[in-house]
Amino acid sequence: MTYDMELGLLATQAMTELVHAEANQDDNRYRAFLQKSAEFCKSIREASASVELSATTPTEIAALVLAVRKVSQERSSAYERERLKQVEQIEPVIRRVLVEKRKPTPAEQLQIADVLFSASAADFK
Amino acid sequence: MSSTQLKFLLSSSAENLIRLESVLKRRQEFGASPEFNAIIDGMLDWCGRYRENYLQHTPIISKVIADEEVSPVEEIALKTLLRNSINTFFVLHDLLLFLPREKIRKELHFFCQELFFPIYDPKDLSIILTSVYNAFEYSLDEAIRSLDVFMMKVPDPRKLPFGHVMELAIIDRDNPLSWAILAHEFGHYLDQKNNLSKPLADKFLQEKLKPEPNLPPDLRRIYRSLASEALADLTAYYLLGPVGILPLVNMELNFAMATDKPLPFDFKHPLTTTRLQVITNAAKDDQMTLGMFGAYTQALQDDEAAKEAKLPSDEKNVRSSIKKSTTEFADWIRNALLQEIEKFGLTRFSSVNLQTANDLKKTLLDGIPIGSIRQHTREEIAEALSRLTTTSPPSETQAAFAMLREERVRVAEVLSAGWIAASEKKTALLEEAFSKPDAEIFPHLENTLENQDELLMKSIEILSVMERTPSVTERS
Repeated sequence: MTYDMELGLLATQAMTELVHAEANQDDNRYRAFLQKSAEFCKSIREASASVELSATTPTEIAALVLAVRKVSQERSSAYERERLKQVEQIEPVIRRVLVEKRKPTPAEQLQIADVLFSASAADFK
Repeated sequence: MSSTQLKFLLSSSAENLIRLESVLKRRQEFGASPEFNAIIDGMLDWCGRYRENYLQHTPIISKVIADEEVSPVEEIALKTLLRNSINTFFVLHDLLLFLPREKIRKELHFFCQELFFPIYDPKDLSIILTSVYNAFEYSLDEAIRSLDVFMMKVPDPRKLPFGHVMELAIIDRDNPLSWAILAHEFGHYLDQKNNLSKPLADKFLQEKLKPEPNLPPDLRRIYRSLASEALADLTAYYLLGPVGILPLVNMELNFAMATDKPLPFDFKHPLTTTRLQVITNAAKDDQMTLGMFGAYTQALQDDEAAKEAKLPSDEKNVRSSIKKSTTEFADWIRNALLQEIEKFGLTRFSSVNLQTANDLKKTLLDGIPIGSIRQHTREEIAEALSRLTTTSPPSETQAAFAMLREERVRVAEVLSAGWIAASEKKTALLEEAFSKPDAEIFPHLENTLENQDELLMKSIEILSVMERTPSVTERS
């Protein structure tokens, strides 16, 4: 079983903020919910990101980068790919609501909440 | 998710958290060594964060307990809390590996001595605590032989018989209800020592695949593993009745919360719902039922069905075929395995024991240990005593007073009574705890669990004392 405790806590805290925001119609807590959700997405993206090669990367380092990329692709499970896909769907929503400085609509809340729940699952490889 | 499942998970995840904290605090108080402070403090900090998150969800939890409707967001929030609390618990439990290992309790020895009589021999079967949240049984000799370092140092490790080991999760050290899992592990011990299940698995394949083709070795291995697990489950059932399967249901419901997919078939263990069905069928044949634990077994079945419904159709079909094949195999092998178990002279749990356990449960719920039980009802005794007069013959007086005699109960009955009581009061306990101010919720749950454990420990201890001390009438 693979499970990231920090990510799990982040998802839990984000949902706690949403529940309190809903109960008290508290704008600050809606914002905290969105920010923690954004942080959650960023962490997943960073954990799944592959090492990028630039044109100026020296050959001897590029060989290592390619080897690392190959290993990480092999290790990346279907679960990780699915999780990344989910996160990529809600990130634009979170960004838009934050930019528009409004509270998320009920549909947006549910969409984000669903992903926080699913993407914080453990991976039984 | 059903309200029953949510309540079960609320209670179970809070219990795990409390038990983990109690292990850590005990290490801090009694086994204090500065080199362990960092890990203990770190783990306690994680427990504290989840405690805090639980309390932040009190209004939703109270709604669930009162069977009031929760909004979709509230439901997801609660599920996210439960999922991450349970998963964090699994990880933290693994980390207990870094702390010195505690010894098991003396009551667990009494428990094994009686339940596994006359086979149990502590010189051949050690019990240790493991940091993996599970239970195991294995031959220590084989494990040691496979270690390179040992091979290098000992020319012929075969000359060192270490016997077998049963491992119990560290968290379960003080929780007698969870010791039921050792009956399953004891089944593996019997199997390994006596080669019980393997020939039956081979016989099944011979019968079903006549004339035997070139059987893929993997298939034989799978069927042998399935037979071995069936034997272990049936040993637990033989010794403890329906309660034998409950630790598994308990564990599975926790694991089920960890992920969105149904737990996969591991080619060794039948799916838990299949195992549950096998025990339900066996119990039915023996005039017993798992009905009193129905809410939890149903929750497990519902959870699996809901997750299976979301699978792509090819995966769904594979799962359905696995269930069908493993159920057919279990039905074929069940009685033969029970006959094998019977040969060891162990004490079989029957419907009479279940009835006794159900009666004993009332005493437990009153907070009284349950080492013994009267064979006559209160009314029968009152009636006999009221008939006595000053002129009653001594034999009649003796007979009336003899009705007060308490008969020692069996450890399997104590454990069953404990499970029935704990299942019945699970929701009430949550209700009670979450009706209190925030600061008192966890201390209340903690006290109740401690009392429940101590009551069962005391009951098991009483049994061991009664075993060794003849009653007053026997002495005279």
